[in-house]
Amino acid sequence: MKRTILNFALATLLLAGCDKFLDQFPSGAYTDENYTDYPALVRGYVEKAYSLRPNHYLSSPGMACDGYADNMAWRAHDNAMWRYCSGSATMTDDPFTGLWTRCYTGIYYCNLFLQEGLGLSERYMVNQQADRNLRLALQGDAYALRAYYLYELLKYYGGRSTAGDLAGVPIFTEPVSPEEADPSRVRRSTFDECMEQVLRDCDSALLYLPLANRDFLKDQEMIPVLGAVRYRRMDGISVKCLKALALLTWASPAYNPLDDRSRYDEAARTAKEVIDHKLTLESADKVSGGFSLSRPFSWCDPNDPEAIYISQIFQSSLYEGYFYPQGFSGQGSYGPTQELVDAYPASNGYPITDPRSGYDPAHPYDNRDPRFYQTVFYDGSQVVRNTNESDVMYIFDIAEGGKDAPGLVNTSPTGYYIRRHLYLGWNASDAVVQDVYRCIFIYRWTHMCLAFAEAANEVAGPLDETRYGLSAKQALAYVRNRPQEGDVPGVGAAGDPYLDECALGGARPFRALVRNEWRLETAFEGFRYHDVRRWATSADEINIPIHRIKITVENGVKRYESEELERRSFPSLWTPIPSTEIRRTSLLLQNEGWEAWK
Amino acid sequence: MKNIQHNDFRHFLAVCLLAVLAWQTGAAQQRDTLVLLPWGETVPADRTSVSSAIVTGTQLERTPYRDAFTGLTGLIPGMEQTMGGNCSVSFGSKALATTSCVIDDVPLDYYVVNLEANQIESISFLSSTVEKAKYGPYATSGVLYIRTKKGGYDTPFTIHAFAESGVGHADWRAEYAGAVDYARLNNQARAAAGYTQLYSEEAIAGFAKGDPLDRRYPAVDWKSLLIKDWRPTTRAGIEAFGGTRNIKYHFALNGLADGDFYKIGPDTFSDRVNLTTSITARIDRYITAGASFRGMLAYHQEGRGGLYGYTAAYPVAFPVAFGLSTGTTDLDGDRLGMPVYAVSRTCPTNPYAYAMEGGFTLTRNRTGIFDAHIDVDMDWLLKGLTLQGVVNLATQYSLASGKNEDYLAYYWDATSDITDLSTHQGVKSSSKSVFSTSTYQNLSTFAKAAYKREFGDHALDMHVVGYLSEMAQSSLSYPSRFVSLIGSLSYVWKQRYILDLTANRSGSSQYAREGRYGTFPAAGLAWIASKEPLLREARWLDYLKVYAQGGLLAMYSPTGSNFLYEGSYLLGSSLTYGPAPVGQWFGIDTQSASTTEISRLPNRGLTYPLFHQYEAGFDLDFSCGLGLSANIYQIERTGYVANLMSLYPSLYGYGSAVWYDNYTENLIRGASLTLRYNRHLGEVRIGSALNLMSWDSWSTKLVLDEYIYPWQRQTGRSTADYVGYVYAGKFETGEQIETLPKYDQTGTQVGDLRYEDLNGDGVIDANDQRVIGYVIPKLRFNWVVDLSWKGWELNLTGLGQSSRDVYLTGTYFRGGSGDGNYSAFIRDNIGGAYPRLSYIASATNGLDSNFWRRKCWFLKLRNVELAYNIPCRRFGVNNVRVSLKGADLLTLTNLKEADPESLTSGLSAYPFTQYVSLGAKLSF
Repeated sequence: MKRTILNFALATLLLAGCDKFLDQFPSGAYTDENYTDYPALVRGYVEKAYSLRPNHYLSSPGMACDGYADNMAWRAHDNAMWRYCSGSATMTDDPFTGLWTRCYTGIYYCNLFLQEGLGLSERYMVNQQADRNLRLALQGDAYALRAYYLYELLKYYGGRSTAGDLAGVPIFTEPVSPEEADPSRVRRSTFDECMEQVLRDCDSALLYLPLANRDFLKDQEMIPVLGAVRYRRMDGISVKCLKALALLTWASPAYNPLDDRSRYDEAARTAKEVIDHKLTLESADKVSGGFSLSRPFSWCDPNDPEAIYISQIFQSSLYEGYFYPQGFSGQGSYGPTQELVDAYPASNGYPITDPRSGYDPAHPYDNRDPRFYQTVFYDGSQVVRNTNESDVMYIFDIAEGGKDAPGLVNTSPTGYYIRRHLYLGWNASDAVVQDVYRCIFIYRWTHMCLAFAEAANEVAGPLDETRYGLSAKQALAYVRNRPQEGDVPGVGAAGDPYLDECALGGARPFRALVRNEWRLETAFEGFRYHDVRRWATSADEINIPIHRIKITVENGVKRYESEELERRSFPSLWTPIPSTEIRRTSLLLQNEGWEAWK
Repeated sequence: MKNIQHNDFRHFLAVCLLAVLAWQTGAAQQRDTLVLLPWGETVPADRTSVSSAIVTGTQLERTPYRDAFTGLTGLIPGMEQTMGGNCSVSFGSKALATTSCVIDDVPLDYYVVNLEANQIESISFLSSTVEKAKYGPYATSGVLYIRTKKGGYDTPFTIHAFAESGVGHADWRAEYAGAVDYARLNNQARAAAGYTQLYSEEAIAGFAKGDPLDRRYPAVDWKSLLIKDWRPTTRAGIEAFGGTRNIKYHFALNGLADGDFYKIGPDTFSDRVNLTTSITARIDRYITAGASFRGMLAYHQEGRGGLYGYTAAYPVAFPVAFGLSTGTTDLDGDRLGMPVYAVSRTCPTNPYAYAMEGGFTLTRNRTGIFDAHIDVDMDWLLKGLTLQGVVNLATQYSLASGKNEDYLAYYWDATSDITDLSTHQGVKSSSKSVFSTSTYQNLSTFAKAAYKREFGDHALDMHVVGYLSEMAQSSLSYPSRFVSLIGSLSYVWKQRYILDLTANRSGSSQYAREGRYGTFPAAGLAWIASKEPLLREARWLDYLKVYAQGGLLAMYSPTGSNFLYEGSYLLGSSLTYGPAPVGQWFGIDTQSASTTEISRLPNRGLTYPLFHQYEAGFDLDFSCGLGLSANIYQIERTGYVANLMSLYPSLYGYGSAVWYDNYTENLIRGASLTLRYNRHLGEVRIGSALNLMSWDSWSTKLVLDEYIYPWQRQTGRSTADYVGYVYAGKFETGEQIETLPKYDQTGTQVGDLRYEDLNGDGVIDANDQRVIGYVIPKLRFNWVVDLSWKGWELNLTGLGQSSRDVYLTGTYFRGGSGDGNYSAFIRDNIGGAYPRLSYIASATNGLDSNFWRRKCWFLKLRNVELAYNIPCRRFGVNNVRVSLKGADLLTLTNLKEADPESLTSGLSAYPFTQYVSLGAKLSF
């Protein structure tokens, strides 16, 4: 006590030297001053950026992007998503604000890691070689994720601003502290500048990242930091997917006003590298269980050899609960549209509008592309247990008066139900309800075939095999010939006259075919919103009605009628930037058509 | 004891007039000729630019309340004092509310101390710029400045002893529907919502019997079972003081025993013993040293149910009890002899059982404050120089312990009587017998050098104080440390021109090195006009002082957050990478890594919020006994610490991190006016004062003021503005419901409230809210009248407010749905002041709107004391003073529904308590 008092008295006299007295005691907390002493915290920046990826298709925007276009409709109309595509959204129920914040938070954390070589100069592991491998891989992760998030932003928010220019989004390559931040000076970079930044970051990432997160592709001493333990993180090959898709977007009509064909060329080359990688290094011939064109892709297997880059995995029956109707313990929240159903060709590959298809409007669901049966449940569809073909768990009755007809409690609004993503071993009435691992297949083999086919067709036409060592037609044939689950042969497996016909017809009919294949293959993956916009030149092309099926029964005979359900209505091709962002900045321009969101 | 209520504003005016008349004829409140300044300075009022009043401890003896500070009402010009239930008192001046105290120049929260009136020498309220600047940042929001008694040199040994005893009466405001009314209201509510009614006419007839133990139709008046209206209070104390030529001393010991309003259950009491001792000695010609100790021991015990426990059940929920467990059925198991209570599935708590069996909490609180000082006269070195050093250690330890027991209850319902054992199984939970402890420690020390000298027409008074403190409290993870160096200079020329200069350099551990120090200057000017040769001769004028002050003050609170400037990093969730466990073909190993979450970004420049305070005023005394003081002020508060994240667009990527900076601003303007009258009319002595205050404060800078419509703009709004929907009548027809804009698109019914559609978009939503009222009074006043005649004394103090808007809130007024929640207010006002009864609560009617607004003014008689001094010269007694005291005996108001001073008192918070006590004080 005496001592304390003495100290106090001394301190009182020496007020000038009181900093020690006033300094905070060491608290053991991680702070801005000491966090670099903890490598886990520095590494955690990259992990944080990874954690911001969504991990299921229902996470916004995800599958809603099929609904914002012509693939899907919502049962409930009390949500911001439905209001957005019906033209009744107000700026307070913008369904995209989460995406905007998420992507920019991801970029901020990547920038914190990259800033002044912070992440690259940290020591993470005792073993020097392992430490080096990890440092490089994390550096690559940070660049790749920064490119990924910026491209996500571009996909949604890139577009004509109210000033009429083709604008991207504000680019940040360094973290900005609140003291330095000046919202009055933030402006959107041009679309081209953003694309260049994405490509630059992709190229930086490629310098650091391992080729692919596969144990058989790495040296033994790279254990324990490289190889399969990195699966679900970016690798060289997934960065190439990102790059190919970004280039394809940049080459697309909406974003390529000067029609710069070199973008398609670059996109085709990059996609081809991924295709080659799958067909050679990862092929089933080289490694047991590897990629094979003769093996179908499974949505319920996160390790499927077709997968290139996936999100975090989780075990759940989320999709079953939302997709199935009330009668099978679901909510019937979504319905595939008549437009999507009609987009699937007949089993001989001809579109159903073509007389040669043999399509019979009285039996619309007979003899269709096997992919149709894998994607959609329709009137009379059966839910058959995957492990026991004789166990028919549910039969859809969608005709008027049927238990699954539109308009009832928890039934689809369109008369169709989504089948894709579902696990057919699930049944809510089982004693032990089965579920499987789920994930988002962010990049997969099919995406690259489609990207290549689309890009190569624009550069060299459908048939040129020499330019890339693969023709657009061949790439599309990979997709159409692929067997479907249950080893059902693909639509083009036994000869594909319609593909041949389109290819011979030149770039134009082939382009239409590729676009349709994009729609069929990526249904309910969240591609459609962006795809229809990048191909469009005016909002009229996306403001279209969508239809549902109406099935009536007369004297035991079913009549199928398509009727308009609702209209998609957007003021422009572009997505609105969150109104609070416009309000809190001075120079940030809103996208065309959304002037009132400020 | 009942409050007298008048609807008519004319009554209020009449009372005001009477008060003014009373003051006109009256005599007690003289302008003080001395001013207390921080760091032990006491200066004549005509030697400083500060104008303030001094209250003596004796003046505080007139309140019968347990807290001596409640006696301050009306005694300090410009100071407001508001009370809630249970004598919770808060102070304010110049629109700033505070509960801070400085006791013998050391900052201590007053709950730590609980001084009694006979331990206090003097109190003033530091609220002017110069006073606050002289003390430093702790005083910036205003503090009660208290000096304790020390005795006096050359004073004969004197003893004062007193004892008093009285009763308090609870002003219960909440009344709920009785059993029959409840059943009818519940039926009515269910019918309105399309539900079947629960209570038949037969049942209602059964309830009318009012038998709380009836197994078929129980009707329980929970309130009268559980709580009572009266509580006893007793206090006694002894004070001894005196001094020789070189030693002075003071000793006081006080005891207080207070009851509570609980009728059943464990004993409830609130007792304390309070002791102060002080001794000061002149050690030699130059050195004086002293030490003092203040201690308090307080016990408070009550049941765990709380005063409003009775609202947990409704009158017909279940019978109070089934009887004693006989142990013969399997229902009772081995709990033979225990009382068996009833609960129901909809109402799982039995308040009577909880009160009787639920245990209790005993809070023991002890405080010890040790203080030592030494004064050194340095005259031998420099004439007029003195040094002083003080050390003060205050500690408090509070322990709440008790028993946490459960009662035994079975579910009951009207048809099948006793059913299953409920979750209340009569278990005694020993692990919860200690509830909490808290500690507080404050070590303060200061050293002062003072220099006072007069040279002809020039008088100089300067001092330098170095102050240092460390406060540790169990609710803070780290102690707050604070240092201050204060220089002060007072210069008086020709005894009438005064200049005060103060500069303060302070440092706080709550900020980083970059922001922890600041220098804050203030200045004051005064002119003692009555000392001008021209006016000195004026016989009608006693005193006139005109002053102006201005300065920059920093704000510091030892309980503020310590680390807001620092970035906070956390390891977040762990993510796993690698192949899924099924179908592995390219590897099997997985690896996990944690995310980093930045929860707060650093701002090392964070620093003190600032007050720019300016004021001017005058004190005027006429020879006839009339006096007048006025003060006008403006305070700009800038740099309040706020999380600024919502100013930034999310594109910076900060996610959910917070970032604090000095940002928000606020402006206060106000004035106070005091009228005094003091006169001796023969043997009658009259003293009176009326103090009027008016102020407003505006938010001038807010973190975020995004608005779509102009009426939503918050910047520039008064902090008293009340926001809500604009009531536009009720829906009277189904057609109106279909055509007019409504809030609830599906559930709106006839009788529901309609609101104005301000933006004309056809629906009522949050955008249709605007300022609908003003909740502070334009004028506040308090008053005091002291009369004495021979041995008789009559002292009255009171306060009041002019009209303001108040809003009826809470379930007592806006409930009326589901089970329970049927108050007398709802019962008596359905279709009128209460819109519509419905079992399913209306989404519309409970919204804040001017439907619930009342205009309210009030005038309260806070303390009244009638005393008689009996001259007595026996048994060594010099004087006996017998006094009858009352508190809050009279309220005049136009507000029927609630207490106008504290709207929740007696409804959902502790009730206002009216006191009467009788006591005697003996002087030896």
